[in-house]
Amino acid sequence: MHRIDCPWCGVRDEAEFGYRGDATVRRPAADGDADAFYAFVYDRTNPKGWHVEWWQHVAGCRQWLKVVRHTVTHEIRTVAKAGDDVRAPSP
Amino acid sequence: MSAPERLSPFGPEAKPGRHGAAGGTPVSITERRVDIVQVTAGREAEAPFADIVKDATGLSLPPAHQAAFSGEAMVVWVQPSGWLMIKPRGDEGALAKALAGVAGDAVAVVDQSHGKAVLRLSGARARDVLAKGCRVDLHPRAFLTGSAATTTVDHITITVVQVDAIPTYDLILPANFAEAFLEWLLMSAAEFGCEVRPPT
Repeated sequence: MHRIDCPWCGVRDEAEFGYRGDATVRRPAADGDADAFYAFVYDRTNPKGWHVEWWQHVAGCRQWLKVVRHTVTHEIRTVAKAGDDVRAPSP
Repeated sequence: MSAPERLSPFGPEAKPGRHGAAGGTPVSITERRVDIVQVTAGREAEAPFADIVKDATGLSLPPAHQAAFSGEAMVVWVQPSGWLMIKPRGDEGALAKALAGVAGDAVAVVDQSHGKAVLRLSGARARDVLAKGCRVDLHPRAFLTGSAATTTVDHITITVVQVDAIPTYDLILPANFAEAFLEWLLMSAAEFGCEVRPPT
């Protein structure tokens, strides 16, 4: 069980959160071509190591959060608000 | 023709009476019949809306993780720039209408009077009853009168508000899970004994 330190609610159990995918993906401009949108929807780097992810505090404040999590050790290094600029540490 | 009388979302389990162990120090469970309106303010709208609420109810919008009380009325923080306004049941939709009338366009006002239900749990062992299923630390060093937290109990998302130091909690839950939640609460309270009181 992860313990996620929600910037709004404090440390809560993972069970209150929903995983919402890769937070590094950027939506292409509206006039982007089909390949750009294909990549936006399907292409993921699936890193072994640090990963910036969306988690939503579904059963709490309902805010979307950026979580920096290690996909091997499950260590959580940073939990930030959705608008914050968050980068994965180098491996 | 008047509207039919509203049914309790808690179902037959909510019939007043004694449940669980006899004697001891029973907790009490009371359905609170209230109007509930969820308000969510746009970022720039928060300060003016706080003034409007203060004028209308005498209540200050509470900061994060807090609730504010005035008699039977209560305002509970539930999310950034989002609160639940709770008052004893009045005319259908009147509270939402009154708030929408003064709140301005940048504040979303949603009537939750039928969507949510409120139980009041009170008694010396109320903390123990709730703690069996609650992931939030309810110890007085972490959770006091006026504290509010939204979390899950028995897989049901509820907002817990501590009303006084007895302790008394108001539990705000989705009305469609009200019966299931009450069943859990009665089971959890069985070892201490439990008095279900008539709705207020």
